[in-house]
Amino acid sequence: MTTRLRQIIADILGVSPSEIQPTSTPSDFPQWDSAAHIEIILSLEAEFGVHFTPEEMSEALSLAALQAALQAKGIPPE
Amino acid sequence: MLNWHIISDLLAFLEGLSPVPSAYSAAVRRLRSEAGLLLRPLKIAIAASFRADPLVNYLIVEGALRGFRFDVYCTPYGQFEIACSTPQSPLFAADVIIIAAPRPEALVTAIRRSSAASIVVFNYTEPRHSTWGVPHPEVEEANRALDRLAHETPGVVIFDFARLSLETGLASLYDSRLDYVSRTPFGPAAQLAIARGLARLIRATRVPPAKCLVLDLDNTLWGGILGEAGPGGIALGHDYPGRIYHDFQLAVRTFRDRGTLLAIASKNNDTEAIQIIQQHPDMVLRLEDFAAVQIHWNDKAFSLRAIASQLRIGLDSLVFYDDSPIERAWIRAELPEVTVIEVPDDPLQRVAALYGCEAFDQIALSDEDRKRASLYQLDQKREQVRLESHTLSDFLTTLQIRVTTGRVDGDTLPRVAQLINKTNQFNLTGRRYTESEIQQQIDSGAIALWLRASDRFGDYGLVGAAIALPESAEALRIDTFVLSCRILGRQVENDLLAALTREAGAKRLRPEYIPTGRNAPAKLFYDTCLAGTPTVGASPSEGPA
Repeated sequence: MTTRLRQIIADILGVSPSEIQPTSTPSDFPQWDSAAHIEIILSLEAEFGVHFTPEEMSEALSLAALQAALQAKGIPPE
Repeated sequence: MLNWHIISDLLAFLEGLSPVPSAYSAAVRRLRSEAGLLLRPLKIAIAASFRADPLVNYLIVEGALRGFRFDVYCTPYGQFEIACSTPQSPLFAADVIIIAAPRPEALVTAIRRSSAASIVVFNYTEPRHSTWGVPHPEVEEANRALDRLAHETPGVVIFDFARLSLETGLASLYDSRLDYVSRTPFGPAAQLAIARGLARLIRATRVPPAKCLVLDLDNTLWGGILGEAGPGGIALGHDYPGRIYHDFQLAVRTFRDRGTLLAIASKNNDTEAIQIIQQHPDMVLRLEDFAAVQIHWNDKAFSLRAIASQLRIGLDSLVFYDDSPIERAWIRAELPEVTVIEVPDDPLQRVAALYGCEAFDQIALSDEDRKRASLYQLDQKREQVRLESHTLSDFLTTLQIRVTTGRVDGDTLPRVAQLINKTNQFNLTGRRYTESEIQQQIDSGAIALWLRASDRFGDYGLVGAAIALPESAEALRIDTFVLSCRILGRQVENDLLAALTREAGAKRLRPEYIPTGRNAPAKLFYDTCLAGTPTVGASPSEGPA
């Protein structure tokens, strides 16, 4: 899951997956704005078949937090 | 060759793209780096009452699949009205402006004041929530008003959002969560559907429709193989499975009625097949509905070449519909210019495959389109006269051709634009203009003329157009000069030129010829009539403008 998650964030931000660290947050990338964040969430929903509420969207603001949110929705880490 | 490989790799990649925003984001980046120069650039602007930015990547990919490099600008959220009335807005740099907002009439008027761009207007759909059973006739009324607006304003087309929302379903169209968090009311699947519909419509504003649908017979127009099952054994009628083929023929007929020429390319016994077409009680299409017929055992690439040459149209104007994957693969390999419809094995999906083909998409229908099938029947009678005539002048005398010309106005503009965009052979410069661009040229002093022709067999319709643009106080440049292939060889080009000369009055006309690789017939006219004639002025050595 982490590999796919990292790839999705990288694709939206237009960077290499290796640049996305577990601690990476929107403040590390100027292009990770609220619109990009929604694109990331929508991509995760399509990729993993899950659903985020508006609150979950705004709280999962780092690779680690997104990972935890997906895990809480029953997606195994690897 | 290298370009072709890049494009076909890229198309395969784009067609296989999974409907996930991140995949589209990566695809757009790949398109920018690899295919930028291979695609036809087109600037798009979106003025929407919602945040339309999430549509952009979908739109770029759907455009690329149709041969375009869309450069998309969205007005900032909440500023679409200001942008439409601010000519300095980047909106006005666009070739195509999309309006997705309630009450678009005023926005169209404001944009038209300073732009000749094509304007695409979303129509209205049913309200998202409604008390059960309460009808909303105001939706239909408002959409009728929009249709009138599009009809009356050159270059305005309607995006049928009402139809799209029916196909998608209101419940899957909207995502209220996204509406509240980001002011985009549509979910990703609906965004993709909207972008696909928009790209298809925008393509149709720029690409003329294909001219001829070439159909197979066995297992296409009827079920079964005539040579094996015999005349009594084929499936065609009012019960399953014959009704499938009957209904397919009804669908094909709607294309004929809109101006698509029909042709047959079948490997069959000629006599036996013609007998079915003429005498089977449940055939919808009869021999006279087909402009060209190739029934024999020769290869189908030969048949398609013969059809194109008989109808005097390019191979790229043909669309091939055949149930056999082997024949389709053969035509793709032998004649890559021909559009080949991917016909599903399931006969129940055949009508949808026909309507799904974008090659025949056409924004506006002209009288010529509706009458085309009968116009081609007249041509066959004329061809008979030509074969019986000893000389060209005998032939022309027998035909008794009559020509009228006039200035392009609101009634003739759509057909003139259509003719300018689809004429390849007798086209002096190959320039393409939209309706609104031609209107703008007329408004700034151009002479734009149409030509209609008829003879003792009947009407040819509006078959010629010319535009001369003012170049200086005493000269006009013949920017555009086109004749439909149906009127070639009748010498009416001289009438169109004479009309242009009359309209130009004391002003000199400077002719121009730009080779396009396909307009050799126009070159002959240029060399013999235009370049050397003092009445129309300058020689080509003065160079094109």
